[in-house]
Amino acid sequence: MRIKFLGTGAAEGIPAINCTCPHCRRARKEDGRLVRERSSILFSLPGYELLVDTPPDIRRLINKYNITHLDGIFITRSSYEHVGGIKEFEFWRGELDFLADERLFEAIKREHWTERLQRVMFYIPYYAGAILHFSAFSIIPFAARSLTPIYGLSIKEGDTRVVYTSDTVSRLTNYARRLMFGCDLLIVNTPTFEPPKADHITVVEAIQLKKEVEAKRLILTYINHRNKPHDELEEYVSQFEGVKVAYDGMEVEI
Amino acid sequence: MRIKFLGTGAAEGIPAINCDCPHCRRAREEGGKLVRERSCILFSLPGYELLMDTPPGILDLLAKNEVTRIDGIFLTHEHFDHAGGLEEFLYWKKDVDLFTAKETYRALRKEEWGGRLSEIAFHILYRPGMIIRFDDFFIVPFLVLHGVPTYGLMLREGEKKIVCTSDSALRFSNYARCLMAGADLLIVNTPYFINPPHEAHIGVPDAIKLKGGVGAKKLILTHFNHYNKPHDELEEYVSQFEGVEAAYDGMEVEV
Repeated sequence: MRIKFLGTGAAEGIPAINCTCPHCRRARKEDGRLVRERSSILFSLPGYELLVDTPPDIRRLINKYNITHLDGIFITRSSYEHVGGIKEFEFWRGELDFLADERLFEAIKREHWTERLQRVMFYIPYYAGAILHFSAFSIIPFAARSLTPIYGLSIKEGDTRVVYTSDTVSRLTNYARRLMFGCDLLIVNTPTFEPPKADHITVVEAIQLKKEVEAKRLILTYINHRNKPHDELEEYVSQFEGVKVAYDGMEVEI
Repeated sequence: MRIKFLGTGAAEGIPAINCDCPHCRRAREEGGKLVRERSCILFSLPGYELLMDTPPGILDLLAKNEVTRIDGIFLTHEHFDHAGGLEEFLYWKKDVDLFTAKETYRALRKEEWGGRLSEIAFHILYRPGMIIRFDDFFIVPFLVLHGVPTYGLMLREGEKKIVCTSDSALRFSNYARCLMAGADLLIVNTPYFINPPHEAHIGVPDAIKLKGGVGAKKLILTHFNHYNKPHDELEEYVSQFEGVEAAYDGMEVEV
């Protein structure tokens, strides 16, 4: 499968609105990989283009990367930085599957759902731990947190397994660890660099997690302005084998 | 697997109650393949006889086709012509598994005899897209659009793949199309020849187009009503397309 990181920023993106921290200032000045739009990932699977999350900037991202065909959208969380751009799809030409957990869908309907969107989207609920079987590949969503509905997903195509944790904390279920075990690629959202940071896993902890679950590769994404700038972060992770930092537009073939 | 179409009629069957349209009159006079009981399909899988839907005429259909073993019932949705005969299984001698979605089960529970559902069957809840894995085969229900929550079904045994859409509008999820892609057999419910716009169903020419669109090797049409062409005319029409057949009551297929 091919994976494309359309956006790799956390909730506020980089540069963050109204922020004059050195990281954001550098991003404004130097541009390039220092700039991060809110996170969204495109998985190109056999006969199926799957977009994971629709952040507020999704229209611009889709235009920027010339995406004209999608089959489905998988939502991992109902907060603004994950679904804020869903209404842009009111103008999508064609039909899309909308994969979301029931609680997520209820929340999304309250805030974002419209008649026009209903005509485009075919809602298919997913359930944590239940395999969604597509003919040539399968997806297993798993709970990324114990109370808030946030879901990661494991995608399996042939013998290749890719796991995306979405917004997880460092504490994971043993079930999720089992799904990650020995996977070919682990993608983790790490807004900040190191603990203490209770509500998300950090860069340092994610690298530890890679070791624990014996993942072959690790890609870090969903990075905020309190984290190191891209070049410094890249330098830091280069000391670990098989670890990379995503940047906007990065493509990976696995 | 072996597939037997026990009934191939839509909600009203053919001849329809109290109807004297030419199609129904012919069916009453000539009998044979013109007569259609409400739809129901029996899948003979390795070590498992799976009945898809239990229409109101199920008692006669089972007797007529000498079906003495059923391991599980898969209900696609709660409509009378699909679930109306379930109560008959109160008198079935052995336990059966009952696969339904949660909304369908809730609707059945509201029936006057709903409290006795657990006597009939061991309920196994299915969810859209979720694999139900048996030893030698598996099934995957998928959501379709038909007013009430309705599910199609993919059956996979080894390399063989069969997909039944059940009652569905022509609009499918891309997910469902993914399951249909390259199927060895696609079974589509086509009550009307040309589907009226207000009906959440698929017309015959649209189903044939769907076959091409998803690259299915074979297509069998079923669930016909009396507004559709009579069986002989329908057969003649579909014979111009390769790999397309119209089912009739009692038809058997080996895939």
